[in-house]
Amino acid sequence: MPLITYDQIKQSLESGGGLNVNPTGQGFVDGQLTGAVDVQIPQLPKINFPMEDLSYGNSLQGTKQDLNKLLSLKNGKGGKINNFGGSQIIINSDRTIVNSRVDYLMLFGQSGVAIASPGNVNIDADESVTLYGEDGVFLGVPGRGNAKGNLIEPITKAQPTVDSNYEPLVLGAKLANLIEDLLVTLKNATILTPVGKGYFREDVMHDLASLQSRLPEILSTYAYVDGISHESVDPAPAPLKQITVPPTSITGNVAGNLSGVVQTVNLDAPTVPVAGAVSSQPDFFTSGSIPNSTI
Amino acid sequence: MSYTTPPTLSYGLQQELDSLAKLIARDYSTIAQNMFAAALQGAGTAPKVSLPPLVQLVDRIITPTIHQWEGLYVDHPNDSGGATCRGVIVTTFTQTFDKIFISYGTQDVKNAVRSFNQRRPTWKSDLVLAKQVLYGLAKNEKVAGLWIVKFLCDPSCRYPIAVMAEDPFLGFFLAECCWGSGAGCYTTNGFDTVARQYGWNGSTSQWVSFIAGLGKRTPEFASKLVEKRLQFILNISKPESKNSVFRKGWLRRLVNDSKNSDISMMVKINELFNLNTEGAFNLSQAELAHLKVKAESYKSFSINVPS
Repeated sequence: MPLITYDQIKQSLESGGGLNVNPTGQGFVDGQLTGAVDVQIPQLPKINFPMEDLSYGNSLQGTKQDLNKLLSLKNGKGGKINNFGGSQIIINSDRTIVNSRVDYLMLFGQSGVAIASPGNVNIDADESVTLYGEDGVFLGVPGRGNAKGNLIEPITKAQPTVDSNYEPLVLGAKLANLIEDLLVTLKNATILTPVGKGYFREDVMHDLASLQSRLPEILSTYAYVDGISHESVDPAPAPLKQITVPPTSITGNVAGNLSGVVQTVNLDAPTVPVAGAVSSQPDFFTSGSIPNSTI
Repeated sequence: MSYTTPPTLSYGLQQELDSLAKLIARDYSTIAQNMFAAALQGAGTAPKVSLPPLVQLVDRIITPTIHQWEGLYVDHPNDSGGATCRGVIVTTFTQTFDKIFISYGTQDVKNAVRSFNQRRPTWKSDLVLAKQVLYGLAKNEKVAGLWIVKFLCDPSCRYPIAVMAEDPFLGFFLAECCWGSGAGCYTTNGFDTVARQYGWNGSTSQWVSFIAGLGKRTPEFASKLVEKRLQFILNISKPESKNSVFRKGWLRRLVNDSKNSDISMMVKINELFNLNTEGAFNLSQAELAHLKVKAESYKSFSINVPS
């Protein structure tokens, strides 16, 4: 029988270039880094709010009526002179009571109805009181009839805005709904930051929820205003086509000195099959185990 | 599609596995030493060679050679063992994954593996996903190399690493036979019969002590085992047998390959590790003295082969 010796095997190995330690590949130093780190924080894309900043234009006008003119009174002969040209009934007394025992008390006037007093005017009802004006209901006289207000356009956000004679009332339920939507939007908000997504902290979330619970108290249970006659909504912004995804990593450069022990570890494994693997040759297939049969 | 075509991984899974593989590769030496230390404790013998150079030996000589034989990814339809990557079978991979990395890993590796298991809770039972994870991790030589480390620590294979700490080639060769034939190779290949002729008392707990007691007779004992292995392969792969298609490959792996056969490994280990001719291993003077005796005796190694 042929004999294979150590020297023959060694010679074969040497001639085939197989008698050397496997290259240790890319190494790394397992040690300590001292120096400076320059981190480049990614720039977020510029985000444009997709609609114009709409402002409310108020053209409401209210007029204070002159009581003397209503009563056709003018000054003369040391006092007021009734100057009305037509027929009229004047009830003038130290105290006047007008009472309707069964049906309505009605006050009508072709030009208008004036209820005035140097003191207080009270309109009381055991049931409800409804104020109705065909062109609107105006409360108060702008500037008590001497409207001045602020007419200067603001330059900074801290300066007062231009006054109007009259401003529309706020609808309570709609305001409450709007504030609630705003609070919910804030609670669910995802904030873009250069280093990933941002969220409000738990205490801020808790405060937002607390504010939401207080919303019902802004709604009166006594005074109501017409809920149908109001402005329509502005044009909504176009639907979003895409949402910016914040970066999930930051890059940077490290400048410094690394000291330690060089570890011979190949961190990057090959991503292609082993070159020239014997098992890849056509006549070779040995991924199965050798059967455990006895000799 | 060829049976060697690797599975396709999603970008997210690829990123996760690349990150995990790099972490494992970074801590390879520590994990391997932890596994070897546990095995040597189990074997109950005092190693003649310390753990760091043994890890280097496995990493620089043994693992690359085994990977050269096994190739990268193989999922042959006729292979009942299933898909393998660098010789690691997918079922073995899933069953021993936590054992290796959670029992013996560094804290970073333990945390990363636990986190991965939580993110992908079904990966061990979902075969498609398991193959993807197998390829995604075991394509990294260091990660796959830890399954060779595990094999060297196997008690049922009689702790090959403990034998290596006494005689590096013999430990490798016994592990190589177990890798191919299972732990039963000791009886099926006739190794135990030879051992009894050299004074082994038949107790597996005494196996490493028996090897250590062989002294200068170790190369002679090793050559007998190689001849037994050769005869075993020739017997079970006769031309008319179902294993005949494997005969050529098995013989190449044992004796017929000039660079990577088992007997070539004997010379490689003897010259490069025992004699440390390239100075690539951190061996103490005491370790070198022990290994040099082995090296000189192995130069008389020879085997008879059929014509």
